[in-house]
Amino acid sequence: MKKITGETIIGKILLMIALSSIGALFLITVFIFAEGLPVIFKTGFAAFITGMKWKPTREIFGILPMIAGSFAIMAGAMIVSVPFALCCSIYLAEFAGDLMRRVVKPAIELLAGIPSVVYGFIGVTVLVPFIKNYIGGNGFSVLGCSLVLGVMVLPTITSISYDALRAVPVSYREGALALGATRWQAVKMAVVPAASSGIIAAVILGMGRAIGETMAVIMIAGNSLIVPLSPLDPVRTLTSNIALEMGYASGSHRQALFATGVVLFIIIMALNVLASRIINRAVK
Amino acid sequence: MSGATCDEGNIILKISNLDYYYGSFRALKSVCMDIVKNTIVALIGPSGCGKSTLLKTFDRMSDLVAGSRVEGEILYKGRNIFDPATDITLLRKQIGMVFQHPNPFALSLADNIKFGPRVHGERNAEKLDWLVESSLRAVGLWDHLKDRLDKKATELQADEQQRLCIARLIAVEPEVLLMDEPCSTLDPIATLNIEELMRELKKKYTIVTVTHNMQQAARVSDYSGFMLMGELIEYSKTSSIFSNPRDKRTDDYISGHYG
Ligand SMILES: Nc1ncnc2c1ncn2[C@@H]1O[C@H](COP(=O)(O)OP(=O)(O)OP(=O)(O)O)[C@@H](O)[C@H]1O
Ligand SMILES: [Mg+2]
Repeated sequence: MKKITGETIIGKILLMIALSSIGALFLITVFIFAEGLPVIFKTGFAAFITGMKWKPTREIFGILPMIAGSFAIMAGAMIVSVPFALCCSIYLAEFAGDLMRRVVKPAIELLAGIPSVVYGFIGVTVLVPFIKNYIGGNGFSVLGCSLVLGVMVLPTITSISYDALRAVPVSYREGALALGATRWQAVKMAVVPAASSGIIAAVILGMGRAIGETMAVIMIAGNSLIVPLSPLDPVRTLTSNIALEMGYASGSHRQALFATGVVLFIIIMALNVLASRIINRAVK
Repeated sequence: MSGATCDEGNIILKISNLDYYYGSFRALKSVCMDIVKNTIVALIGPSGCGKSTLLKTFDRMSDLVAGSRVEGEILYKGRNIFDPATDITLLRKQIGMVFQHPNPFALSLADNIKFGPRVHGERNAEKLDWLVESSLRAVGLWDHLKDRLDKKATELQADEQQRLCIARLIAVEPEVLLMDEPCSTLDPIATLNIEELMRELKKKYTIVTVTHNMQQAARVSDYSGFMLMGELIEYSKTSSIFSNPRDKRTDDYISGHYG
C-alpha cells in the first residue's frame, strides 16, 4: 500500500480545486441549458433563431435581429481592430527596439484593463454625438459600437499574435536574410506565414470577446430590435438582450432569455474550440 | 600568415587583414586567405575559435550582431564587400549560406525554393517552376519529391531538409556557398550523401564549409584552414595540411582529432 504523505495530500487538494472549476463550468452549462431549452423546444430551434419578432408579453420569441446585431458588431470590430492589431504585433515583434517594446506593449495591454463601462461612457459622450452630427443617424449605431469594440479587442489580438510571431524561430529570419531578403520581406514571406495559425487563432479569440461584450454595447448600440442594414442602424445584441431584460423578466420570458444565453454559449464555445484546434494543429 | 599560393585570376574571395569584434572582444585576428573558384575550403579548429564568425563575414550576416565591428577587407571578385556602396541583398544572393540546423520555412517545398527568386523580383511562374525543378534536381531530391511539392517543408526528414536548404540557395544562382557544419545534425549515411553532393556542386560553385569532423575535411575539401583563438594559423592544400602540417599547433590539433 502506498504511504500517505504530505505530498500526496497536497496533490489531492490541488486536484480537487482544479476539478471544482470544471465542476463550476459544468453546473453553469447545465443550468443555462435546463432553463433555456424548454422555450427553444416549444418555439422550435429553427423558429427561435430565425424569428424576426421578439414580443415577450405575447410569448413570441425570435432572436434573428439580435444574432444579426451580434455578428454585425463583431464583424465591424474585426474590420477596425485586425489591421491595427496585426500592424502593432508585427511592429512590436519584429521591428521595435527594446525600449519601444517595453513601453508600447504594456500600454496596449493596459487597454484590456479599462472597465468596459468606461469605454461605453466615452462612446456615449464622444463617439455617438460625433457620428450623429457628422455622419448621420442618431449616433447609436453598429458603427459606433464597432469602433469601441475594435479598441477593446485590440489587446487580445495583438498580444496573442505577438506571441505567435515571437515563437517563430530566429533561424527563419536568418534563412530569409541570408537569401538576400530585406527585413520586411523576411517578415512578410517567412515569419508571418509561419505564425499564421497563431494569428488566425488570435483573431478568432478576439471575435469571441467581441460577441461576449455587454456593457459598452448596451450603452452605444441603441438596442433596437431590427436587423441592421446600414452601419448607422441601431442594434441589439444577444448579450444586451439578456442584460436589459433580465431585471424584470419572469416565467417564459425569463426562460427565453436563458435560451438566448444558450445560443450565445454555443457561438462562443464554437469559436473557442475552433481557435484551440488551430493552435494545436500549429503546434504539431 | 600562410596564404595558399594560386593563380590570382581564379581567386573569388580575397580576405586581407580581417579583424572582427563582438563589442570589445576581438574574435578574428588579421585573417588573410585566398579562396579559389570551384574548390571546397574547409575551416577547422576547436570550438569558439571563430570559424562561424569568419564564415559569416563573407556574406555580411555578421552585420546583424549588435555592437559588432569589422576591419580589413574582403574582395569578392575584386570588390570590397565592406564598401558602403555594396548592395547587401545582391551580395547575399551571390554568396549564400546553409546553416548548421536545417531551417526550411514553414511553407510548401515549392514555395521554399521560390522564396529566393521571388525576393529578387522573379515573378514569371514558368521560370519559378523551372527553378524548383532544376534546384531540386541539383540536390537529388526531384525524383523523390516531385509529386509532393505542396508538402510542408518542415515535415521532411533532417537530411532532406538540409538538401532543400541547399536547393533553396541554388535557386538564386549564387556563386559561393557557405556551409556552417551542414552535417552536424545528420546521421553518418546522410552525411556521406551531403558530402557527395558537395563534390558535385563544386563544379559550378565555390564552397566554404566549417566542420568539426577531420575525416570529413580530409575527404571533401581541396583547401583547409586551421583556426585557433581568432587566428588563421595555417591554410593550404588539404593534402599537405593533413600529411605534413607546417605549424606545431596544427599538428597537435589534427593528430588529436584524427588517426
Ligand atoms: N554574438 C556574439 N556575441 C559575443 N561573442 C560572440 C558571439 N558569437 C560568438 N562569439 C564569440 O566569438 C568567438 C568565436 O565564435 P564562433 O561562433 O565563431 O566560434 P566557432 O569556431 O564557430 O565555434 P563552434 O565550433 O563551437 O561553432 C567565441 O569565443 C564566441 O564566444
Ligand atoms: Mg560555429
